[in-house]
Parts: sequence; structure tokens; C-alpha cells
Amino acid sequence: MKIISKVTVLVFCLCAYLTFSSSAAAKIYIDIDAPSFQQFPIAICDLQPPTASTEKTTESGIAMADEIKNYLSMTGIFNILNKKSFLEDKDLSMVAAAENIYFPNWAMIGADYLLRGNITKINNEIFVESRLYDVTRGELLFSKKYNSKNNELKKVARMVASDILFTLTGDEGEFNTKIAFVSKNKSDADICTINYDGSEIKNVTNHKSIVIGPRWSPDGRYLAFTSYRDGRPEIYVRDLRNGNDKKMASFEGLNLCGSFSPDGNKLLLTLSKDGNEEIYILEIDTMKLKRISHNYSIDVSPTWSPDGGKIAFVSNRSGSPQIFIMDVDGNNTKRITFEGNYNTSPSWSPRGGRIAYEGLVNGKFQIFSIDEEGNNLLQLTFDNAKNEYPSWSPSGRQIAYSSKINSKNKICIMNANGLNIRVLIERANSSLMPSWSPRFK
Amino acid sequence: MKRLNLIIGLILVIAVGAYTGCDNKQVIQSDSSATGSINQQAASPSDTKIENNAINSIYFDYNKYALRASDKKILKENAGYFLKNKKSAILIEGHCDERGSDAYNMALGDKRAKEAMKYLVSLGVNKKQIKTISYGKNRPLDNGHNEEAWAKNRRNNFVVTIE
Repeated sequence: MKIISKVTVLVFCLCAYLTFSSSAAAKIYIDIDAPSFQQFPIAICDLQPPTASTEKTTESGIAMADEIKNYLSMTGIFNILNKKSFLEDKDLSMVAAAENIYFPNWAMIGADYLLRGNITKINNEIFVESRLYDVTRGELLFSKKYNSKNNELKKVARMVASDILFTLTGDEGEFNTKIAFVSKNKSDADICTINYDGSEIKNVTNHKSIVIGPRWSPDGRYLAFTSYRDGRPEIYVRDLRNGNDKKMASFEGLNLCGSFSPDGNKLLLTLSKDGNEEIYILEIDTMKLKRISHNYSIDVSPTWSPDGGKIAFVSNRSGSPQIFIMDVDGNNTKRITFEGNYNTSPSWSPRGGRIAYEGLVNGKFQIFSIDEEGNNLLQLTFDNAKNEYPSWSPSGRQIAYSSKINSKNKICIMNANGLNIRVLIERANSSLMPSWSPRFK
Repeated sequence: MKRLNLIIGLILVIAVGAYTGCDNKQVIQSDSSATGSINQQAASPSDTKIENNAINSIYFDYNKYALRASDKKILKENAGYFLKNKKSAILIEGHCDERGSDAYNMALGDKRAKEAMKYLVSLGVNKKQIKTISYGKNRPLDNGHNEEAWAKNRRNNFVVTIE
């Protein structure tokens, strides 16, 4: 028996050697939108000193592994295995060349993927090498080197996490994104931004007024919003490069801001200058205005489909506020929500297909999503808080929303299926209307 | 030097006199201040606020902008005042309770203010005297989170400036 197992190991090692020697960093695309998708089970080993070194695992190696885990868990699609469950002896992992990994030990604990790496610190500069393995196939997926002159552990960890995500999903995820939101203190509000990892809360505007509905331009340079700074609701566009505000609409009556078109050339508005609250398209360069809704009722909160062909909006034309879809020319208007009598704040998934919104159920606002045909309704939040203003992440895998209960004002991020809720920010001030930025370069 | 001071002083006196001379605006509001209104935006600090019995706010049902019969009665009384004071400028503020999205409540407040405007115009008030503004759910009279507070907040406040 012993002999057989020895032979097996030998054969395995040989196979593994052959595979690895020929392996280029292969891309794997897994359909993480499939209903059957759970999470990627991944084992992250503490980073080790370089191969030749005789040092033991250093503090920075543990800290780096923890940061990588932290970033991966933000994405909501990784099941990060507890390192206490690792069967492999830590000292053996010192030499992390692929052929020394005994993959069945990792498969045994349920890992589909394995991350190993090394870290060296010279003065204030850190050098990191990380290697991602497919445990099931026994393959090296990538081996990459990183360095940071200022000992920026988090920055390197984010790059490693980003490479893992890209290798497994084919996109960069949301690591390089921000979330804009309205921060309200009593009756004064302004727009703030916060990074995806919860760092760097910045004040963007200083209007100290009623401010609502920030929307990012597709290039991430501008934020459009509604503000009462000059005493009444007008639409502004803030250039984030120089901090200048430009007034975009200041018609008689209501001027409310909707979303940018996917090409960034147009802005959706709600105006009441013609009497009723109607939806308009403003061509930004020419300031040409085109009215696209014609109805006696309230038409508000327009948002563009990612292909630019359609607009979702809220209307009370059938009595209560409901979500509708129409073509960009205003034709083929169709109601898509029929459950509940108060459905507002539509947000179109960047991948298309689904629209998230807030709806009133048993006296509480909750987040829902529904497909463009009005089918496959999903309730995503269920707690006792007031859950409002959903906004999709660029990958379409996550949704940010505001969640208020008693004096706790949170902005949360959840997976598009409602699982893996993470609190991005919690404060005493109202934190409302989160809007997810595009990816920054 | 003394002369210069005197001249500056004189100019100052004249300027102040001119300023107060043209500022005999009176602003009245239908929202009673006793309920702790934070809606002081319409009145500038130099405006004098006078005791108001002549004009009253009107109230709305949840998520509705249709005028109630009782509201129409109040609007008729308000219209009587406006018709007597033809030089008054009327700002109708539409307000909502805290439930629902900001944008939808902005539109709802806009509708509420416009419904009152249309009715006043039908009673003979000059449309040119009237402006409307919606504050949505941003300027509640009562900061409570119950039906009693909400009912007070779903309202039109009339801000009247008399030259």
C-alpha cells in the first residue's frame, strides 16, 4: 500500500512538473452570474521570506496576506479559507516553487485556488512576489512581482487582489472605484466621496443646501447633481479636476438631475417648466433640450440603459409610483413593477438585464431587482432598516445602498443577489443616495 | 482728516437712510412658527414678519396632490386676501412627509404647489403674482416619525411678500 501511494505521489509530481513548466498565465472565465455560482474557495498563505532566506514568516508576510484577504472579501465572491485548516506545514511552504506543492492537501480542505508568495523588506521598500494556483487542475495561473517604495502594504495587497480577480473573472472588479453620496446634517447637505475600501472620505461640494442625486459621468471626471444653493432646485455639473461647478439647467420650476448617457454626451433631466414633471434629454455640448415624456402625471428619476437605447424612470401614471421603461425617443413605454404600491429609485445594471429599485413592503423600504421585462423579481434586503437608493457597481456584481435604522446611517454594499452585506460607512449624519463611480484608470 | 471723516459719516447716514427707505417689505407665512418651522429661507433677515391670521397652509393626503374640500375653503380665504393685496408676491411651497425617495417627493411637492396655484388662478388671482417651489421632504415642520408629524408636513406653505 505504501509503495502504491509513493508511486502515485511521484506520478503526480511528474505530471505537475510537466504542466507547470509549460503553463503560461491562463485566463479562466467562470460565469459568476450563474445561479449555481457560490464563491471561489481560496487559500491565502502568509507570504514568506525569499527562497534562499532562512528567516521564518515575518510580520509583514502575515500582514500582507491579511490585507489581500481583506480586499478579496470586499468583492463578495471569495470564500477565504481559514489558515488554521491548512494541512501543509508552514515551513514546507517556504520554498514555494510549484512542484513542491502537494495539491491534494489543498483540495482536501476545499480550496479551489491557492495563493502563495514572498515578501522582502529593504529599508522602506517592499518587494512582493505572488503566485496563484488552480488547485483542481494543479496549474500555475500567474506569477507576478510587485514593489512599493513607501512600504504601502495596502496598495500592493490591492494590486494582488485585483490580479486574482482579473484572472478568475476577466474584469478588474471595483477596487479602483469610489462611491459618491449625499451627507446631510440637519437641513444642510453636500456631496462626499469614499473609496471602495472605505478609505478617504472627501467633501466634494460646499453648497450647504438641499443637495440630491449625484451621478457620475462615464469617464469619472464629472458629477451631476441637483442643488438649492441659489434658493431653488437647479442642476449643476462639478468638474472634479478643477472643482468648478457649471449650472446646466435652471428653468422655471423643478430641475432634477438624472443619469448621464453611456457615451457621456447627454444628461437626463426632470423639468416641470412645461407644467408637469417631464423627462428631457440635454445634449451637453450644444445645451439642446429634447422632451421625451408627455404625460399629465409625475415622471421622474430617469436612468439610462447601458446600451444607450432605453430609459427607466418612475411614474405615477397608473396611480402609485412605479418603474417604467421607454425607448430613448419616448416610445414603447412599459410598466415593469406590479408588486407593491411604492416603487422608486431605479438603477440599471451596467451589464444590462436587471434594474434595481427601492420598494415599500410592510411599511419598510427594501431593495429589489427585476429584469427589463418585468420578470424574475428578487427582494434583496430584508432587515428592519430603511434601505434605499440602490446603485450598481461597474462590474454589475455588487449594489451600494443607504440603510438607516434609528440614528445609524449606513451605506452598505451587497452582492447583486443580496448576500455578503458590507458596511462601507456608518455615521451619525444622514448618508444617502450613493452613486457608484466608473473604474478610474 | 476730520472733514474727511465727516463726509464719510454723512455718506453712511444717507446710504443707511436710503436702504431703510426702500425696505418696507412685509413677509407673512402661512406655516405657524410655533410648530418649530425651520423653513426660514424665504424671508431675508431684514424682512419684518407680521402676525398672520389672513393666510393659512393647506394639507394633503399621503402621496396625493388633489385638493381636499377643506383645502379649497382655505384657498378661497387666501384668495380673498391676495385679491385685496394685488401687489403681493405669492410663493407657494410644496412640502412632503419623509417617506419615499427624494426625487419623487420633489416632484410630488411640485405637483402640490401647482395644484394650489391653479385653483387660486381659477379664483381670479393673477398668475403673475404667483411662484411655486418644491422642497420635497427636506423642510419638515415636525421632525417626528409618525402619522401625526407626517400629516403636518404634507402641506403647502404660502409666503407672501407685500411691497
